[in-house]
Amino acid sequence: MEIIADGKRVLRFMILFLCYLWLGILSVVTILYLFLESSTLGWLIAMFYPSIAPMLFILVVGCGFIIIRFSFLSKKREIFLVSIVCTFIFIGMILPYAAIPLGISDAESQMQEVYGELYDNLDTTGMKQVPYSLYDDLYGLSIDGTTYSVQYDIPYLDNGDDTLYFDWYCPVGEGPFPVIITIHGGAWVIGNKGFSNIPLFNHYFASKGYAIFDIQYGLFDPDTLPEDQSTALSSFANLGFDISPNYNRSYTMEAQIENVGEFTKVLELNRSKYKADIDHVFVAGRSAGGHLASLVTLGYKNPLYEGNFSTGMKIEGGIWYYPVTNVTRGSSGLFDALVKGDLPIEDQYTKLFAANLITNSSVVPPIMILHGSKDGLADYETQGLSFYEYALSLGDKCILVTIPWAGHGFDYDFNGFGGQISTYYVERFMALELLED
Amino acid sequence: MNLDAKRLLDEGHLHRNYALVTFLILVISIISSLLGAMGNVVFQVITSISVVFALVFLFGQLILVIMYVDKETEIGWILHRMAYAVLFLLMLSALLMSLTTYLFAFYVLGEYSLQANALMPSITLTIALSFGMCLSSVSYYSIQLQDIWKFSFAS
Repeated sequence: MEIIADGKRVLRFMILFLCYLWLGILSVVTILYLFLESSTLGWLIAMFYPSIAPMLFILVVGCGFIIIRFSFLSKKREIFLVSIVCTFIFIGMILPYAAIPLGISDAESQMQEVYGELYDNLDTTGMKQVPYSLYDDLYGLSIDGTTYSVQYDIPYLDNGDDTLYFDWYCPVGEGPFPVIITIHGGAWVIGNKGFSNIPLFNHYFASKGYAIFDIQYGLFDPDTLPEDQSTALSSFANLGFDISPNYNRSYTMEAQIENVGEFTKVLELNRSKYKADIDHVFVAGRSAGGHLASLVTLGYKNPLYEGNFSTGMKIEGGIWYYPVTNVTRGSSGLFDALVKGDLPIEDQYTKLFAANLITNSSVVPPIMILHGSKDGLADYETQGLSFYEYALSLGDKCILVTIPWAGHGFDYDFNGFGGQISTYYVERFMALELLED
Repeated sequence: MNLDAKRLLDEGHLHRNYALVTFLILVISIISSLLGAMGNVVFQVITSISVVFALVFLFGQLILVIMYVDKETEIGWILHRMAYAVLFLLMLSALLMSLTTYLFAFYVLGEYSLQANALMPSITLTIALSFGMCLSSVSYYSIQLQDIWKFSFAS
């Protein structure tokens, strides 16, 4: 009997320890998420936490209840303290969801303003019906896997050192289909096509009749930098957890955009093979991929990029998820090695960042920027909002969908609120642009 | 009818009604989630609302059982264990759903990820809610039995 009683005590102690630990961890996570989103841990948490926070809160309530029940059932002050901690975590969890209507209403008014009646009368049959649905959050967006096929690892460029590949998502049918080129993120130093580039996005839009090309590009190797300059990029590269391909060469931004340009040429040459309608091309990218997508969008007809891209394709729109748009040469020269090319370094900055490039681009296709307001990596104010305002001041067509309280990479949970709201508006943006054409 | 007996009846009614409402909401959430899988937006909206209410009511039911059921009685002991099992299952399903959300988003199961993405939450949530239904229905019937529920005036 004594052994059983001891066993019970040990079990009770362990359960209580786990409950305290969980409440402690979630409290720290909430503090980092709410107040310290610019720290490395802060933006990593803002990337994943908001979309799963409601589920994790069920654990918080359970743990809070167990602690009160087994530790301080008769101690009012302690009960009050545990309740305060749970309430604090609850506030951190509920904020993004409470702000969803604000984000949607802002996006709606922009869509109305840009497209007017065309937006009201758009045939949305087969599209996502509401910007956010808890049902889709729980059970996942419906994707009909029978309406498309996927071919992986198709080579498109062999430069003697490395071979670059792409994945092709092709809808069933004769085609040609409107094209989406998707470019992965990873601070130009890590990342890959495929599983690290939101594959559900590719599957979803392939099922809606778009030919998706998920492409690789060469990565910059921070180990090639002098030790005093490599710290920031190396620490980011170490977050890669071996998800990146092992390239033999280091690729600057200039080389990376050449890789993407090479792909557009291959696509033009093989348009019938890949059932690609190159008169209707959308370029989508995330983070550093969003930056490269911005260069394709603004640069494909720009003399600065002469010979870089296919001359036959027409970009219908740029879809930039939390992109880097505005970097100027700082005193540290952190980006110099990444940015360097044939032009003097100041001109390279002008050529390689959208906020400068848009100024001297005569052809600016419609742009949709999707940015989380708690983005601690590609800052919302300086990289998303300021570019949007600048594009509007130049008279260009630009829509900024703000995902409230969402961090960098908000759509990694494709079914979460960030993934859903962005998918809803991207789907309509592309349909409207195809309709207008 | 003396005062104590009347209060016992009133509180008994309240608890029975609560258990009944919890049971009904749980049933609605499970059925509507199955119907919602066919793509009907109305059922999906009903599911969204009912799942939130179901979880809130279920937590209330758990608190009622753990606080007010006399675990020294035979059925009370079972009810107590059942309540903790439901709490454990709820927490486990929440944890599993959070983890699998990202696992399947990264396509770890390849082509099967699409199915797993829909199947995993259905399984975990349905199991947790079904156990909640069992708890609320057993609570509903046990209130008729004497000396199991310790209502406020008796404790």
